[in-house]
Amino acid sequence: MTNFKQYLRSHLKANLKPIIYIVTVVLFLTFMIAINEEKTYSFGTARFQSTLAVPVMFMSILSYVLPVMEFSFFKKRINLDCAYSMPISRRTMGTAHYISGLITLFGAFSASYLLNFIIMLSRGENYFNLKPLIPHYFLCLFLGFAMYSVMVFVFNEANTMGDGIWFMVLYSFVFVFVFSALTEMIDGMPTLYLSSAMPFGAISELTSQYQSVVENFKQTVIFWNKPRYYTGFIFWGILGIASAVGFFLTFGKKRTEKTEEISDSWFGYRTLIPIYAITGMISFHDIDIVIFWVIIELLAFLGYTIYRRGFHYKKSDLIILGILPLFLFV
Amino acid sequence: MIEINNLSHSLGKKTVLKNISLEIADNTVLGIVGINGAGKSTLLRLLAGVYLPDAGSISYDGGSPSDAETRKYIFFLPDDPYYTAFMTPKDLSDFYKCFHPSIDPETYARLLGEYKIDMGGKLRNFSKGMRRQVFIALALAIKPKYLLLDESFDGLDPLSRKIFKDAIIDLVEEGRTTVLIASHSLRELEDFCDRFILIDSNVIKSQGDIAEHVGRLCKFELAFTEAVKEEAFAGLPIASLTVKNRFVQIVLEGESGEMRKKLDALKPVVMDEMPLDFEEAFISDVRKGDKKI
Repeated sequence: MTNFKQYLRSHLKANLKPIIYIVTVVLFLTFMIAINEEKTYSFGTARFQSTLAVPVMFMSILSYVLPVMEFSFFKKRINLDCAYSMPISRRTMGTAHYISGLITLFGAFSASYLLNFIIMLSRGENYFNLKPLIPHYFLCLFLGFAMYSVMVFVFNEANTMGDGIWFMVLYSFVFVFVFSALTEMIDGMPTLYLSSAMPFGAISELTSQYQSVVENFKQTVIFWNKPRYYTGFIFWGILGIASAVGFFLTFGKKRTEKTEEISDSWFGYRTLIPIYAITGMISFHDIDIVIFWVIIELLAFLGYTIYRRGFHYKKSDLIILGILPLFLFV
Repeated sequence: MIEINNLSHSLGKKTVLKNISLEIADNTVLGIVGINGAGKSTLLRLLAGVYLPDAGSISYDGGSPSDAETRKYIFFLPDDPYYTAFMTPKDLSDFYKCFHPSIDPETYARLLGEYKIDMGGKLRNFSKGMRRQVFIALALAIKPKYLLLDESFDGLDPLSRKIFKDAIIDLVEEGRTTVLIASHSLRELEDFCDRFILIDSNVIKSQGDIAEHVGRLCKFELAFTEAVKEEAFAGLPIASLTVKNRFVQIVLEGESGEMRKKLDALKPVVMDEMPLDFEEAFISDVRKGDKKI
């Protein structure tokens, strides 16, 4: 525990400048966007909007940036010689980096939220309904934790920084493809609200609902009344908790020698490329069968080329590419 | 004491070390030598706990290097040590103090002074050699029980090398540190290593006391009246042989007087015994295994 505290403290100290830069930029942009908010006119009345989406937008961006900032250190072999020979366990070290990122995420979001709140307050007494901001703030923190944890987990499933960034991008949209394919395949399955299948979609959906209450003094937040709205919240919440647990269980067990090698994790290209290709075939096959098949095959080839870092395909890759057309008929 | 038992390790599909067993007594300086890619750095990484062995075990007084508690007594200085963009030598020592509270700030400051390094300068602005000096000063100031050094002479000027070697000798003489150093600078190792191991073809090919190892070989330069062929020396315990027309350079395994008598039988017109150093002994050892350096 002593080592953890000392390492976290020294890590935060070493990263103090980047953290200060991030918080300053976030605050500056929050201020500029919120203060320059123009009045919108509806039904003859002019109103300022609440700009609640501004801190949420920064939280979404940072939940992608911070995992890269915190964990790219572990993607270079030369760094690991020093790091893993120190008298601190790998899991403790990983936890310190995870917590450091979370502190920065929550710190930047809270600072931005507070500034936005002050600007909202400056519009005048009773201009906005401010009470719902309290639950909204904490719900956003939870979704921020979930988004950040998912991205930390998937980034750490890669062996290089580049692959880690690809994994994060691919995970952001993979559930849109999966849900879309399920809707296509299963008769009577309720249409899922696809924007919530993206991590930043779930938080923006939540925020837009709260925004209407804050601005229009509605009595209830309809978010909790319609499953299509809160499905994404629950889905990403569960995925976030699972990712955090997965990260803590696996981080200390990774083999140092794999660093900078091909990213062969089951949570990476190996699974994501077939999922994208198959669900793509199923979801969009009615557009133009031949053109679509060619496009998906080409994208899958590109995916495998990035995965294998060249044209060194394995038999399993070629089998997937070969059977893809079958899914046009599902 | 460090005990290595049947240690094996592969990188991908390539076996780097196979069934290595070794005991390293306390307060010794062990030189680890071998050609490029022989597995010296891999062995050090395994010893430092950076890699976890595929098979076999490593024990430091009964503790495994995979255990953070054991690593309190180990300091590994890799070929290319890590530092952050804004780090200064002062920050570096503050950072390492968290894990090695025994760090001696006076030794650190003194060594940096001898190397003429600014304590407040940014490491990223230093040359590779200067950065290495900072890390060497750090390693020596920590005074760990086990000091693992990988190619630590690289990029050091002759004066810095001397300061470094003297400091290591002092540490060992104080009776508190065991040093393992992998290097291609065999002439440097010869100066202060007690023992050596030669890694070749995934195994420890030879080991022992450097002076004894060099002493079991003798080197001669011969001249003949006519051109000679390599076959003429068949039957001799050859460690290395270079034949150029009438001139021959030969390294033999055995006592020099006895070897001189055997060579006399070939009737050279000139025969001189030449001094042999560790580097030449190493080259002979490696060539014997049909390897090229």
